[in-house]
Amino acid sequence: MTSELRPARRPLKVWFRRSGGRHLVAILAAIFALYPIVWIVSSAFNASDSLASARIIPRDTTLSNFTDIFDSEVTSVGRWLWNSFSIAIIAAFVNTFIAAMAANAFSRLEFWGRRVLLTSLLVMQIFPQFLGFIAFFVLSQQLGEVVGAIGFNTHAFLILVYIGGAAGFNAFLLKGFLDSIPKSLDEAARIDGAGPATIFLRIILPLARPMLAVIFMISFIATFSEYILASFLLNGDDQLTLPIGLQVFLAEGYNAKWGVLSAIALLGATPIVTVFIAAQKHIIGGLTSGGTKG
Amino acid sequence: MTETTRDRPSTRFARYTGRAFWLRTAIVGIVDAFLVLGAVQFAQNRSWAVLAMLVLAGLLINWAYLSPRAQASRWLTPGLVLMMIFVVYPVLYTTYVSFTNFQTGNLLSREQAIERLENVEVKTGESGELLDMLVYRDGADQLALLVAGADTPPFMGLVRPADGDVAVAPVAGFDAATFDPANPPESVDGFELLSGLAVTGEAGRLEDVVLDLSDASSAEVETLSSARLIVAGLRFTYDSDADTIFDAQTGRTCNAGEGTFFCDGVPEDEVQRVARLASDTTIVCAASVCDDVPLFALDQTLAGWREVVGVDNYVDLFTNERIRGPFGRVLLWNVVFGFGSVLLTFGLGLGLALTLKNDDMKFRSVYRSIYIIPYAVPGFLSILVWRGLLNNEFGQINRMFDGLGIPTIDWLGSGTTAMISVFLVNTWLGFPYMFLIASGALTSIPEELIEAARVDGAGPWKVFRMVTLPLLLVSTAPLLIGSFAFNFNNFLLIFLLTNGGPPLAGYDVPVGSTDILISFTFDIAAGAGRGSQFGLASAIIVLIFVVLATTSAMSFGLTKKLEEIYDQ
Repeated sequence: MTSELRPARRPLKVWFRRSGGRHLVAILAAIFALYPIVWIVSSAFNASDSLASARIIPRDTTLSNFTDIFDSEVTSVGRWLWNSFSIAIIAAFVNTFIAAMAANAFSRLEFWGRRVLLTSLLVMQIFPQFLGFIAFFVLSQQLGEVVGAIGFNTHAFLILVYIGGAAGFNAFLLKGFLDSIPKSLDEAARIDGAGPATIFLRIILPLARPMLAVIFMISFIATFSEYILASFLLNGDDQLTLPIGLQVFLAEGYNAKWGVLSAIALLGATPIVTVFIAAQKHIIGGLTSGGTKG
Repeated sequence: MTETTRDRPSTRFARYTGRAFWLRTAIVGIVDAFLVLGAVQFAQNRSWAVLAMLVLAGLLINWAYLSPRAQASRWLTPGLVLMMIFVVYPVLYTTYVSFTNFQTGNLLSREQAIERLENVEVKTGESGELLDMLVYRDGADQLALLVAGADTPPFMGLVRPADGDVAVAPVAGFDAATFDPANPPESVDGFELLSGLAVTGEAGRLEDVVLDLSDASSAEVETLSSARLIVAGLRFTYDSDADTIFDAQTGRTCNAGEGTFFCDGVPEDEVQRVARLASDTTIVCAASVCDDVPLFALDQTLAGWREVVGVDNYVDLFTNERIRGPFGRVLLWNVVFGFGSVLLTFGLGLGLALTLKNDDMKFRSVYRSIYIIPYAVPGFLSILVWRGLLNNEFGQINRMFDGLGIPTIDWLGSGTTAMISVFLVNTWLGFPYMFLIASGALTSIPEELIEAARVDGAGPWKVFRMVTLPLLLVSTAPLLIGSFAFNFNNFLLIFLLTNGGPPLAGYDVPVGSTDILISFTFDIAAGAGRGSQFGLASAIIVLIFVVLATTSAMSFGLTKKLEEIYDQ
């Protein structure tokens, strides 16, 4: 720590004592972080695609692992990917919108029970939604007897579950952000004749766009990886989401499917990793600051 | 505030006459129509809880969108309705189920269970009439039987194997009206009457065959010249006054008990034991009584009903040796796993944050970006990949060990190594998050404090221990407790990496060395080969609720306390 006080250029020995140790630690940690990633990338392109024949630098490269994913003769992975993707997109979108509506009320309106409701949103967050899987299982069957379209083994029911589960906390996060948007803007718009809906759609939502994007992404990722509820509420090859489908797919022989798994992992991870690294600041802010203003 | 939210007269007027008002009313009306339609159906299905939620949701929607006084509710209603159904209700329902015997074998309501039982058919044999039997054979070597008795009209037809499906196959040319027992026809439709000696020759083929007389009755060959009439009937009759069910097959009367019917003459404690061991039997009798009478081979979903059983599930968790054992084990490991995960990930994350703290360190942003990657890869994918890397035979880690001449380790194969693997993978998954929050917290510590400590003669370690770490904990304590709560329920990691395994044998519930409460509960509820025990699973979930609530309360208290101490 005291090293900061010394002048910059020094012989190698001194450099090492000063920051070489730090780099050593940092590099070791980087190797740990990248170890599985390197294997994913190399195995995804390896022509001999079993776990046993995986090598860091493949002898022959191929794209067949990627084409296999979308070949419905080989796997239903393409189908599952689509299921997961569409469920997660719809749930994240509706969820963000509903959370924004609620946050708007909490941030802009004074009403009876406001504090109690806000507190209960936080308290309910203590219980992860997936613990209710037995209740959802029974509920989906009771609903299904009357309205088949939102019953057991439908994506619609699962989407509703996901929307309901995350709306509360997201509303809480968004409320903090909306508070930071000056209320004088609403006032000005109201004087110009705008109603509450117009103010919300034309002023609040556009200004909250960065936070909406973060919440959309967090919801999307959480929904995309969700396992317990989807496994209890879906049934049958065609309906499965990617996490459950993959588990089924791998159950028939993990070793031989290593190449395809790596390709799926690479495909699934790349967009999210890219967005994460690009939007580091926003996401970290959203994750660590919680409800406080940005 | 109230000044701005209360609407001015002009807009209020608009609400009652404007297009928006009528549009809204029309939409609410349509929604109401569907809700009423649904309500009727749910009432018919006796789904009371769903009906109650529907009514509540309906009232809220009508009030929110029709009353001029409901301003905020218009914005809140969609979220509130969804949260009521998908957040509050599951907690309440799970708590309710934890006090019931809801499980495979007790899935139905009481009415449904009795209805199912009343429809069970049985063929009563011993008491049936003994019929005279004649045997015929045609050119194609097919056998046909002719039976007749005092109360049974004569019938001639083709036989079927005793275990085959019912198929009434009469011989068309046989005329029952002109049949004379003293003078039976020699030949019908090409079938020739066989003599006594010829019948003896066919004895092998006559064993275990049945002649169907109608859909409800048949004749079973008993000797070479006689058959026993078997009439299908209903096996169970329910007596609603006495609340008992009579079993025509065994001649026993069975009384309604907890979740099922118990038959006469069986001691209650013995019944309980058998009921637990053989949950696929409807009406349970003690093992000693059942020895000579085969247990009813009823489909288990046809069986008993669900019922409130009080704290039985909780009592089972803490007293039943074969459930308490694994439960205690899982609970202990769960706590160790939760704490260990936070300690390891926070330790590594903080260490890296301190390492990269210097602004003049080269490649700082490169390192940062690399450390974020594990956090950004969807968890289920990286866990599945780790499972491959840790594979005993083909995994890259063991192959690397092999190459370096180190003895390989069966990472996921034994209890201890599986636990180490779980920690290893979870550290990989979790350290980026801790790195991020520790980096953020470090920058918020005022540099003067550290300077001051240094001037006072404190070494780097002492500065860290006395200044940096305490201040760091103030700002990160809630997040650390949050991380504990998350890892306490880290189902995905356990389920996909080890599936709770390696399994432990000899318990009433499926359990493995690395099972945490939630994966243990999942297996109990999903019924890994032993039927779903929703009641027991719900009891464990309620205990998880308690752990989480306590943790959160502690988190809240701790944060306040730390702030009090360090804010001075």
